Amino acid sequence: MNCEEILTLLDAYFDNELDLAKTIAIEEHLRTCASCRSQYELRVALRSRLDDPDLRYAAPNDFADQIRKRLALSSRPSRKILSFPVVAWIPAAVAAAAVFGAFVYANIGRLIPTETTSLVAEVASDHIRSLIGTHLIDVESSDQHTVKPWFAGKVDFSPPVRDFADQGFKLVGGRLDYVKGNNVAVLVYRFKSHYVSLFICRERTPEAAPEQKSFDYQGYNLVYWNANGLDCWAVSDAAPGALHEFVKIQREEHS
Amino acid sequence: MVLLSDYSTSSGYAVDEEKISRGSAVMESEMKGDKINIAVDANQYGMNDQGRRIHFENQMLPLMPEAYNLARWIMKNEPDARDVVQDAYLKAFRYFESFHGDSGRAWLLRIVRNVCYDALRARDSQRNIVSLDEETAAEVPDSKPSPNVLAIQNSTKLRIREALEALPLEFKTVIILREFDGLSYKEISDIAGVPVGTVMSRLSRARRQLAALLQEEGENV
Repeated sequence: MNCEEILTLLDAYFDNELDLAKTIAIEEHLRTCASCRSQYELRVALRSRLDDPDLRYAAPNDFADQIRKRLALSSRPSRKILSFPVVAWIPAAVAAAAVFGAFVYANIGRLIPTETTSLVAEVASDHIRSLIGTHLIDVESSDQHTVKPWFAGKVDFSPPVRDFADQGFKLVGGRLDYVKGNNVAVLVYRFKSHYVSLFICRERTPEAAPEQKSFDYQGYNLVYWNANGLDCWAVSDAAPGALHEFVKIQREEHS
Repeated sequence: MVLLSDYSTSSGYAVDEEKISRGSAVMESEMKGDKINIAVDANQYGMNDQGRRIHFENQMLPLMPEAYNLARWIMKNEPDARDVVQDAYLKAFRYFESFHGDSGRAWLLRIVRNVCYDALRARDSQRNIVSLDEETAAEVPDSKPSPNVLAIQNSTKLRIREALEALPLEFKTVIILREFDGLSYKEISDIAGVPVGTVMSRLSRARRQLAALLQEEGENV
């Protein structure tokens, strides 16, 4: 082989992609040809410089979890959540909620913009998933001084955390969730036999930050409000009255 | 409404409970096309779906670092890289059944690469796509002045990074797949959708250009 042929195959040789005969031929050539050898050495030098972990971009810490979450959302559209294992425990209640929820869902769809509808669905679905899965809380504590610092560095704002056990809403912990592409702080409260998830995130759409708003979604009650540049969503299967009481306490505390 | 009411019939839930307790055996029988109770169809789909998702995650999530690295190099910023990798995973999940090959890594990276290129096309309209063109890329001058090994060895991390960043897209892609991920020519050819010979010539040109870039920078200092 002449130099031109050698150079054509040099990268394949360097990458161990050649058969034995060609490999031997190239090795023989490189022993005697300084010019081709320098091309080979160039590749060796490049490879050794590229073999550096710093040149690889590491994925953000929580990224695998975000992907899992997206996959779960995509494979479990909100309507199907109703027929998830929960039904095995309390079929009648869920079936009733399904009928009621479908009715309400069909109606709110007509009353409010699609963007909000899908946000309602996502927040409610997150809450429902947290109950049927294992991811109800990341940090388990009724101590606000434990829960609040836990969020530092996980969200880019400081969520207001207070325990309201004496008013019936006991803080049980917090978790990190992901709604509409944003990290969201979720505080979890217990009210009698119900859980209340309080989603807090940075204000997304200032122009759409209206008065307090209530929604129903598949038998769950949701209340949205905006305070101090934060969007808040309270979600629960507790009665609307109880949820509104919860929201009232929260708003009084932080206004 | 009528359909939803059907869910509440007791027979539907009896089957449902049984299904859940039987776990994966049910999923197998479903695949064989055994009798499916229409009333709990959505439920069966749900269970099946979850098993399928877990299987997918076990196979594909360990490959996320490579997927992210490739996307991050191609997209040049973190938010876009996150978006494309998430989209790629959703897409991969949707088409998981079509994956029968032995290299899950190559299969996933091909999807990542395609989603990246689509995103670039959308982001930069036609601008970047010109550099995708093989002919344009071919005009890269051969390494003159002849690069020397010392220039490469003495390059700082930053220069290496910049040089890699400056490569035409297709060149950058093959370098990452070969040098960072250690993939074979055959795998790279599958990912990039070009013949093995093209992989070889792209790698060759990419390396010569990288060497030339490092040489120039070495001289300018």
